Amino acid sequence: MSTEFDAIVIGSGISGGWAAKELSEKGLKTLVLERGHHVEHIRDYQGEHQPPWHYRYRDYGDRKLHETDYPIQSKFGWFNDHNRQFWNNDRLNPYVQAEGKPFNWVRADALGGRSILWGRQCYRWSDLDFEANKRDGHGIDWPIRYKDIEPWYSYVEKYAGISGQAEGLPQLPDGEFLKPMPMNSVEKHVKAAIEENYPGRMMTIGRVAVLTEPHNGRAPCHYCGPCHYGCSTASYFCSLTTTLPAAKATGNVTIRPDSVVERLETDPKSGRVTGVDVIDANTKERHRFSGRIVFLCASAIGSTQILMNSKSEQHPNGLANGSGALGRYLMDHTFATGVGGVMPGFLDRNTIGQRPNGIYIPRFRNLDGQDEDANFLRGYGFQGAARREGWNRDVPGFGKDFKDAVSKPGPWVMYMSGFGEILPYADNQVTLDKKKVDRFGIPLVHVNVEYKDNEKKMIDDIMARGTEMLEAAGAVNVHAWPGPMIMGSGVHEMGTARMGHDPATSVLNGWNQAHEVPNLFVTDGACMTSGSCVNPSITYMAITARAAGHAAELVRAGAL
Amino acid sequence: MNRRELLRAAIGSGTGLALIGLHRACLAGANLDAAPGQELLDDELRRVLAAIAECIIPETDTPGAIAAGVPQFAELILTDWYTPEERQPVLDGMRALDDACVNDYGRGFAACTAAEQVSELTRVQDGEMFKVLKSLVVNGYFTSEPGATSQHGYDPMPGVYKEVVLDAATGRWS
Repeated sequence: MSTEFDAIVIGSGISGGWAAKELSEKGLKTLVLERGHHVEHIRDYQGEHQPPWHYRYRDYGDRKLHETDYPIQSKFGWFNDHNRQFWNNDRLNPYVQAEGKPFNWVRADALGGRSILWGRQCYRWSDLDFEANKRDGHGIDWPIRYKDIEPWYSYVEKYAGISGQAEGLPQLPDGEFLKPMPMNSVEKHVKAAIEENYPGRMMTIGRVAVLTEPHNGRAPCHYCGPCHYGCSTASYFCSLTTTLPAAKATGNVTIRPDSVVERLETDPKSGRVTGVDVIDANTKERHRFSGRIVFLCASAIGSTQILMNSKSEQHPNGLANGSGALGRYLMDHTFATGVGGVMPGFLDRNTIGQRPNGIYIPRFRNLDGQDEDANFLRGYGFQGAARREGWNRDVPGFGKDFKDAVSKPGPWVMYMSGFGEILPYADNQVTLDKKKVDRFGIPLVHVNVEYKDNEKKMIDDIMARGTEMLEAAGAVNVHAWPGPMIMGSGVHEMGTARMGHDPATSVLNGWNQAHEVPNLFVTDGACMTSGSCVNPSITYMAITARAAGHAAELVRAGAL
Repeated sequence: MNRRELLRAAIGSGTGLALIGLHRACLAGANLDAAPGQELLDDELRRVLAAIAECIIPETDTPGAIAAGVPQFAELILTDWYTPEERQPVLDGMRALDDACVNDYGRGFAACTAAEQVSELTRVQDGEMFKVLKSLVVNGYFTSEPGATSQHGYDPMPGVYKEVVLDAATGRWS
């Protein structure tokens, strides 16, 4: 195997897959390094379409194994025996949490990364987001605006296939949509009640990277439900079925799983990355690869760990960290704050099929300056769904009548979960542990993060506004819950190698290029300067394609 | 009830429950993490569990709990998934129920008439043992092949998401 390439992409998830596709399509000989094991599309989806009775412990899962090997991952709702092969083994690949500040690092450990397991919701950012830091002074200004990324949103959406409804909202720009999935009658009822009672608020169907019509040779969704078991028909966007095959089709890409990147070697004279040191996850054998450019797409914390472990005489605080910003400002979205209630009526209706999507209520707080009644900055959106309860609801009694009752669909329930913007705080920080190392000898990540006052106040508002909307729609037994308020639970880690105008306060420039290392680009969640309240993955796709196009141009021009 | 709620319920019930009676004291002291060849339930408790399961989900025009293999699944989860502390109230409750039947009717729960079983379960249905077993039985039934596939509308590959109007009489869609 050659060790010299034009480009090296570290990570094969949402961002890495896009970097591989774009760079290889521009003619660059590209190496993709993935620390997880190989996954073969279809062959390795062992859990797809499997009924629960094919698993020994069915819905319960193997609790003892979860406690020994997956104590973090198994807390996440989508982890189960059907998809366990994709997740990180927490015993083999641990991290350190600061005392009293839990952090859930929900990770994949497989080719395709979290693009196999993601929630697939796709919302464009707007200038409400790109200007947020500048407006209220929390965090530094983004070096880009919506107009810089708008064409790239269109570019990646057209390729990925996003279904959704255009709504013409300034805070949530429309994209290139395939036909929307339908709302059910109860969702339509709640939508009408919200829009009638609360001007300025609206509900739309979720914008989701799941096909509703044939697209680029991929089949539309068959509505079996759990996308994250893997999808043989490639109906949701996943690196394994979209970007990586496109990269392979160029003949320019080499994909190397089981490749744990230990560190990046820099040349003190040129200031560039000259080598990528890799440890084989199985044999522990060491390899060094070189490329003219390196794209770091190993997830926010993964990429930060690599940069921190790449310190040298010229970069004593970690590579590209002259600013000291590396590892700081970790953001996520507030998660699992929710409201739910029973929606009376509609009992002559039910749904067929498992819609891998829900409804979305775009941000309505603090849109035009600070709302008078808001004691928090920025805002949140709601994701949710209405459905009829199933056999796992509480039905009193036992015996024949109980069996008959529990076998029929229960009442309609509507749930909505708030996703709130978390501010960038300098002390929400990732560092390398000073003593502990992993099985490869790489220092463990130490995470010291928490929700702060603004997030807690926002969560109170999510519960209050959610409750009033469900009550306005006629829901009964409405209840709201704050959730565990544990960082990482939203699985939207962002910000630990942020973009900015000023090398003194940021790691990356407006093209995701390290200020201090011209041939190093970071295009995963680490690059985010603020967090918005919308799901970030489509922005990672757009920002990666944009950066890759720019980097390839610099290579072609001989600048890199 | 999902797995975590189940866990919470189980943990919540385990605390503050006084262990009374000789056999319970023995059980409490025993290593209940069943080693290979060592089983959690004796024959009598196994009969009690099966009878409770069938009382909760009896055979009708669709299979009942026993035909769906629910007692074996419930025992597996009690053995492998529950900790000794979590399952103790369940074991105690089953034993107490059986003892009460011997006292009241002169025979164990499994040998009681259907009316006697209903009467006894009605008496204990707010207790921890019954709540835990009910959730285990319901989950075990609807995740079993006979239980899941006998339900109208079971369709692992629907091919569509759409709303349907249900038949007013049966509550089912055509």
